[in-house]
Amino acid sequence: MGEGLIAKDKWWEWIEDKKDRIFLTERAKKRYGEWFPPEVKMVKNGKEVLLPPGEEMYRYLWTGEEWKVEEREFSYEPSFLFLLPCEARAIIEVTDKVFLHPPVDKNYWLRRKSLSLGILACLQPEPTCFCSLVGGGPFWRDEEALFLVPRKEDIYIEGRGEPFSFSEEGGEKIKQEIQTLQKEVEKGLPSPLPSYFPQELYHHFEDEEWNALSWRCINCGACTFLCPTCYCFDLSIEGRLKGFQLRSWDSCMFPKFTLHASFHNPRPTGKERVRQRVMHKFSYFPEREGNFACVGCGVCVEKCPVNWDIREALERMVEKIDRLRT
Amino acid sequence: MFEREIRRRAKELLEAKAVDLVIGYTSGSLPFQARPILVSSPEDTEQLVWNHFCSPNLARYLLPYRESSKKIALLAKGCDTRAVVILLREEQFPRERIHIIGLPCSGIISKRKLEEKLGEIKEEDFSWEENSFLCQGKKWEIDSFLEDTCARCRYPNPPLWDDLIGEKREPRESSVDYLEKISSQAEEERWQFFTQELSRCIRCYACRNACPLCYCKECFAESDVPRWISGVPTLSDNLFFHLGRSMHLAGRCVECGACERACPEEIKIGLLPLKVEEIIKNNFSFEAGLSLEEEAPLLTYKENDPGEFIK
Amino acid sequence: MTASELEVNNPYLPLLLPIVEIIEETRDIKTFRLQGDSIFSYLPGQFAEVFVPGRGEAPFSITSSPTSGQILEFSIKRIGTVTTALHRLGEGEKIGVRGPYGNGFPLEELKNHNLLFVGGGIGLAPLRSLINYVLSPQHREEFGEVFILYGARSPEDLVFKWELEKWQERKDLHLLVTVDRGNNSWKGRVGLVPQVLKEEVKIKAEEWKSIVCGPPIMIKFTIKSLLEAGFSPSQIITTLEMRMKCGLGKCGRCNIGPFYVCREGPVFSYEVLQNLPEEY
Repeated sequence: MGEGLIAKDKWWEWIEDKKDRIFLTERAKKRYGEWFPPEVKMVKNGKEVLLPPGEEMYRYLWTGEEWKVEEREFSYEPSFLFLLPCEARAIIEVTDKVFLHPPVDKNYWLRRKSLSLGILACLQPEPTCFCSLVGGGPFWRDEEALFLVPRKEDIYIEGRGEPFSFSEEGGEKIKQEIQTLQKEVEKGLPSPLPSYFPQELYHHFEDEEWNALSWRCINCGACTFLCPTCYCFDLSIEGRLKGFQLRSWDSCMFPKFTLHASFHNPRPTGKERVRQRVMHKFSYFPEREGNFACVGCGVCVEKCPVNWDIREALERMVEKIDRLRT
Repeated sequence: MFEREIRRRAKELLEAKAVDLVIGYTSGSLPFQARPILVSSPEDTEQLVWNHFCSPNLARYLLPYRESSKKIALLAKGCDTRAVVILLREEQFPRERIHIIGLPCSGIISKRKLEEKLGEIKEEDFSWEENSFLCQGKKWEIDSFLEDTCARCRYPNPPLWDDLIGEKREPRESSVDYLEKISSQAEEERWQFFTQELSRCIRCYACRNACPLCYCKECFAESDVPRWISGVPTLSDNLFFHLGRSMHLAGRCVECGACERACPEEIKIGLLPLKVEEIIKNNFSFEAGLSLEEEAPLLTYKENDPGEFIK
Repeated sequence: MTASELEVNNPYLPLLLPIVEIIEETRDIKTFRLQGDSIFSYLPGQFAEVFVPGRGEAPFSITSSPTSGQILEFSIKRIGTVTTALHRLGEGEKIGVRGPYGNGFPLEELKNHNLLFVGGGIGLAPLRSLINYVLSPQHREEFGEVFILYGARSPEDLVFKWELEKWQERKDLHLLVTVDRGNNSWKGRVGLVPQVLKEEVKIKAEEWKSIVCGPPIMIKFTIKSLLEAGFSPSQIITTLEMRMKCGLGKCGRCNIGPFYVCREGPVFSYEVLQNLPEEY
């Protein structure tokens, strides 16, 4: 695990060389666009690279005598994805845990193992950000990924890999500066949810609060499709005599998500579906995997057509839980 | 602007038990945003607001109450009321169950346009009037900041109401009609524009779900048997969905623009149903939602219906 | 995430197996017997995703027991696109099978107990897998008494009639078949399953475990009758139906609370089910 400083010109040399194999997320580009060549591919978030909205799982063919099933061979060039800490956390702490948990999802695995992550520190949280509420932070990092803090004339870097071959020693002074910067940025952000939240939220499954909370939601899929951690998908068959199994994004907000063939639907109205979304992200997933399935990026809050704000839902539930605990 | 009156009237209706629920707007959790609210107790009417950011079409929130017997008061702008008229014509509600609090509307302001022209904006720097606002010491007319559908609005006054709060107004003399602008472009350019816009669509169905008139039990987009489109937002499937939806709204769209304002990708999705309505207007001299006695051209048969295409 | 350089298989690829026999159980239920394959080894209570090429994929519980040799059986009711396509297939045709998925029945817990099977309609299908496992020569000694209570709407709706006859002849189990509505030729018991359970199954609850499967409403009332008869929630086991797609716990749709029906289910004890939200 190294750390150091990369001079601007060295950075540009390195990045220019790789520019056709670099992805940059939209939000990272907004803040650090000047550190990357314009040819770099912009993506909305990590999901676009690792879990595209539609992909082929395997194909089948009627030869005239029998059915044949086969998979296409995919291979991916090693590439880099530069993104903000929340977006990186969405990959490392959520989608990796789901798709790399045995049985390993081959499509995801092939893409993931050829993708290196470069986490760019977040120096300007937006008013809709709440990463610290859910266990993340603007300087969150992971040992498997590069961590970068672009400064005026150089970039502070931590992690492993190529860039360290041409970085200079940073030294204690730089480390202190970075730590001070981190504290500065973290100041305005909310404090984490209490550790008892996932368990206690579960006990509030039948709470009437869900009626009030879910009334406004129009049950579209905007929040789920834009969320960097939402991963639910559908499998369908495309093609009669020749075709493939298609994996496409699905949303727990859609009414048909849990519709049985007998027309029984365990989640018939918006209330059950809104509740499911919150419970899955803040109770079920943490119980299984140890962290929330929400990274606090705030995109859903920004984009919801009716201003359904997950922070408010959490606040109300925390209030209720605390009231009953005392 | 008329908030106090609105709150007073809503409170009156609830206290007198003339209605069970009031559906209106309240301030959002983000600046320059308002959100729908359901008020069932008189004290909560203090939360109602009415400003230039009251974007969603509230008639959409009547839809879950079709099966109930509750009486609902609805705060409705000109276009929202037109949607209610259509819902009444389509027999989704008996007239007595909806109490329309009509609000003549000067238009919804686009936060995006404010940011583009004024840079970083804070709510406290603004002071709002009906047709203008003060910001950074300067007075601005709202015209150039309106959402595209509001800039071309022909019916700011509710055509039907039980209470009218606010002053009736004349439609804006606007120089900018974004539908005209795009219609006047050459075919190639238009095709470029629409394919580019629709490639960005993620098929979240926010547009459809925000529309008060999209209330099919099973939308054709989600039909499995027969399966019209896949779950993947490819350009061809997106085109199919949006064109299909626009056609299903033919003669019914009230041109409120709620679909466009709901879109998280900010796609100019309103242009398609608006164009269809223009065609309906030109061929049948009909605009939807203006009167309870109207007869929708695609739902009524008249002997003198255009028939040149029948050879 | 250091996934090793070992070859990773695509878990979504189906295995194509030929249909060896089709048995028409009722007017809308058929049992498909497939030629098994040793790589597909399963436990009673597990399910598989059955792929009809060109039509679709759907989850079905495996109704054969692994002790019955190299076969794989599914009993399928014609109810939608995939099942209709299946019903149109003939012997010799191949279909895809992916799995086995699910937790299966808790065999270790059930050993050395008396077993009361309560099935309704096509709910007998998953139970049959366990019943034949228990009745097999290799395993019969591991379990105690066996009581099978099975009911359907009418005599025409009874499934596995040919199997019921075989069970009727055995001396090491007790079989009681009932129908909600009889007909002219029906000579057996008439009555709803939970009712018949209350009236005719007189056993000492402590020595038994009960495995229930059927339509949701029948499960609900059967569990009620069992509790009244002195069964504790941990003694009641059921297997649930759910809309499932991937079968791997990844697509996110089959959860009841924090449990995925395709991984921690579909078999649940009532003790666990009691503490889960009623979203199934």
